[in-house]
Amino acid sequence: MSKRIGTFNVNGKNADTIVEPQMLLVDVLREKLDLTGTKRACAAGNCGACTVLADGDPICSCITLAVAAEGREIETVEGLRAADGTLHPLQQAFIDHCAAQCGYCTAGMLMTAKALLEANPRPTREDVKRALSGNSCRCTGYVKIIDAVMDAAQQINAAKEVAA
Amino acid sequence: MTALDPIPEGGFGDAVTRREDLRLTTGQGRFLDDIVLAGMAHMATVRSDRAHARIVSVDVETARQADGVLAVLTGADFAASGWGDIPCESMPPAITKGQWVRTPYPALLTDRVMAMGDLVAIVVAESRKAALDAVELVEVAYDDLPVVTSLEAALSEDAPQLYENAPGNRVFSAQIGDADAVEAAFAKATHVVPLTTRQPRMAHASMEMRGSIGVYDARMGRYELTTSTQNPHSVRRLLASSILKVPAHKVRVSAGDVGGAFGLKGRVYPEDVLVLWAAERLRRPVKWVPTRSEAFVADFHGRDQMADGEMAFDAEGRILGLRATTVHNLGCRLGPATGVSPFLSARMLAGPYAMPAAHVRVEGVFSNTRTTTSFRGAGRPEATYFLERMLDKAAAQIGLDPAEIRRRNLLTADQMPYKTALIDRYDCGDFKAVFERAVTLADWGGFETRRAQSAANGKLRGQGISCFVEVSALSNERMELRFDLTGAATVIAGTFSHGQGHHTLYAQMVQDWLGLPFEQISVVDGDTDQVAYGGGTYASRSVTVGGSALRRACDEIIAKGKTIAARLMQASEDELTFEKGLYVRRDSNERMSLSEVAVASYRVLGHPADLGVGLEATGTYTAQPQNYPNGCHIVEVEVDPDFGTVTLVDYIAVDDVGVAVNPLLLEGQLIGSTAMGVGQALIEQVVYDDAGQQVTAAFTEYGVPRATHMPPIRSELLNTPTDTNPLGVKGGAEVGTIAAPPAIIRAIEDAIGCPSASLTLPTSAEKILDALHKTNDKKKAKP
Repeated sequence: MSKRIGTFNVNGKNADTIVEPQMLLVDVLREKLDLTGTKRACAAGNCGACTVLADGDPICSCITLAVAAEGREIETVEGLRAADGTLHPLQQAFIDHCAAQCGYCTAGMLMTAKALLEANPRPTREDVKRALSGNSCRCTGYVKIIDAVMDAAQQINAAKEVAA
Repeated sequence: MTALDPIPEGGFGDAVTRREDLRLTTGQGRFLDDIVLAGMAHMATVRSDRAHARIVSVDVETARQADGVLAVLTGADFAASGWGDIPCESMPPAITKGQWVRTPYPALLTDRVMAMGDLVAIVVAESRKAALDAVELVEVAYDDLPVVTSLEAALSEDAPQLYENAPGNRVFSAQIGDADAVEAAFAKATHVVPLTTRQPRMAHASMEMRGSIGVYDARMGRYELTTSTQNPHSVRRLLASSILKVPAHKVRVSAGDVGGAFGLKGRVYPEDVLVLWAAERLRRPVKWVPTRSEAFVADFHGRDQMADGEMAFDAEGRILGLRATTVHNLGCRLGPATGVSPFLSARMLAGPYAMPAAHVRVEGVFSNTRTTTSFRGAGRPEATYFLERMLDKAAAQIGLDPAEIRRRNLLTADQMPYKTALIDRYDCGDFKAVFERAVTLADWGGFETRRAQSAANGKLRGQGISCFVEVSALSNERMELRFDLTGAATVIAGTFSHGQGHHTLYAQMVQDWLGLPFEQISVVDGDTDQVAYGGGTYASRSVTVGGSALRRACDEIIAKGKTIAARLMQASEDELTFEKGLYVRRDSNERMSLSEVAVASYRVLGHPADLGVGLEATGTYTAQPQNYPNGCHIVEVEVDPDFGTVTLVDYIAVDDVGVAVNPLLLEGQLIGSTAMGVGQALIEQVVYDDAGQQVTAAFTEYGVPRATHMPPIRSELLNTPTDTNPLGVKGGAEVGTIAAPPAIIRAIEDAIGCPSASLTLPTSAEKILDALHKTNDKKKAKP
């Protein structure tokens, strides 16, 4: 199998690693870059646990060829925190609302929600449900995840208003 | 939901956010597949694509030659190793009298596969990809055998017999209750209502699949298994005593973060055995993580039960007696916990009602399907579904409102303690008061207005109700509390948190009981090398058994600390009181904190030799008797008559969990368990075709609820603390799984106007449209 050096921009940093043609983005993130926060749960694009952002759009890293992610800005759960360690409002809201139980779907939920709030800063509950409908959670029953996303939207908007 | 104001730390009863969540929201969880060990090889599996066949030959030569392959091992190799079978250890002797069929269960099969997904061989390779690729090169020749693909097929008279010693494919046929008393009850009945219900086969489908890493420590002659489990000690016990036949100290089982289990991950699986076996042979760590489709066919399933019986009522709709036969499809062979659900289900058919007589025959059957095991609720959902649908049907037959028939039969506080006609003795609770609160909260009587409003929007609205009592707190538990020489405390827990937030709950308890600062308390669980004994976490047990044992450990710490403090303060123990973490000498300003006492207990100089070294205590709790959570859930649905789709528009849950240790976490359990009930009601079902092929092996084929399925939930607690444990708590993690399905199905029937108990689980849009058409045809036929 042919191999070559691939360059990936992940969480604002470039990283070079050896890639093979069949490798998936989730494999590069987890196995080459040690970013294990992104989870592999179905490897078929059905459950959303592997969701990362590519140029701001949520994608399933388990069905994205690694080579197709080169040249795109990839963002994973590890990149959500500010440089000073401050939690992203979504992370804080997930903690405040107890929106994680086992935590396996959490990274995917956070990344999907981040993309939603960037595209739609004032979502309705129905908007949130629709946005998260590709992300499975087997523990929480979703209600607290939806609560957390609604709360985070408010926090982000309030912070923006203060800044403006 | 209840208005909560979460706080980052607090005591017993506070809505404390979880200390687990910082790591889980920042991508720092450490799940099985996140672990990489030096020199680690990867295992992939060769599984049967047949439902029932003789294994004629297994050709592994081509696979052995493939790049990166380290070993290809077959059932013959495993048989030669002398490793033992996986036993079934869950058939209650008091009920079965030992009369049940034992099945061989080696980790790799040699002669016969009995279900799709059965293990025939393994490949171990340098990478997961190399192992998976080489699996395709293993050639297995089969000779197909006749197939039994379902519970119904297993029972049919001309069914192939899967085991020579199991005539009629029966695993067991046992009974509880009093058949003569039931006979007498039916003799004086005004109404007799027959009913058959069918529980679909369910897949736990935890977001993190099972997975294991085996290490053989040749230096110490010791086996180390890291696995995604909910019960490390049970895995170790089975490995040591049944499979390896070595002392338990030769086996270590540990787990990191575990991504959900729901009964799936309670005991040992063949793949756990195989990674250890391969690791010993290869002298390298061996990891197995399945593909999702592999998990769907390899994982044990849940439910798959039929209940058939009749209930006798007097003229006013009061229950006189119940007779029922339940049949559980246990799959092709028995797993360790396969016996749990059938017998829990049988005994909980006593229900939350005054039921003077009951008799239940409970049977298990073999079929060419995957082994079944506990699934969230484990037997209580099966029992509750049958009873609640029975009351719905009886209400229609007798001419009563579904709420009214329950009102006439539910047990009240002044009937407690109540000995059921089957096995249990409910110690406390006011089932009727819980019900009345739910009926009020839901405005049950005002429903017709809301029905009319929905009708104006072209939607069919219905309401359904379900009452239940369940049993929780199984087995015994042991908790240690150990102070270190900095004066901080560690809880060493026999329970094992895999999403429930125990590390927060136990810290709350210790903060409250010992007056320690929250950050001075840590919790260790999930490692048999660190935890001497434990029962793991399942069946809503942990807060009851773990919390009660921890309470006793804390009480012992207070007493031991007092002895040390008295010496240090040159006082008598009678002079000291313990308040909020301080030993205070009566009528003086002298005080010492528990942490100071703990630090002193490690001093080489100055600490009296007769007091030993250190400060630690062990608390135990044995659930004799168990406790009985109960509740009443009411659902309103809207059905779209054109598409047959169901929207849950309102969900009211009133539950009695005794005492809430952390209302925030409890809500999470309540909503999460309800989601599983919603799934069972509407979409979840493992399906086998007529050849025994499992056709649900992906999330596109096996539906799990999504965010869009979930209703808003209005939840209240109406608690009656139990005095069967020191905390007063009852289980609270399975309520919605138990209560939701019958209420939802009844609500759909009410919406579309079809007869009570005519729809079956899961109620798909197809079934709803079919029922709607039949109902409409009947209406048209009437002049």
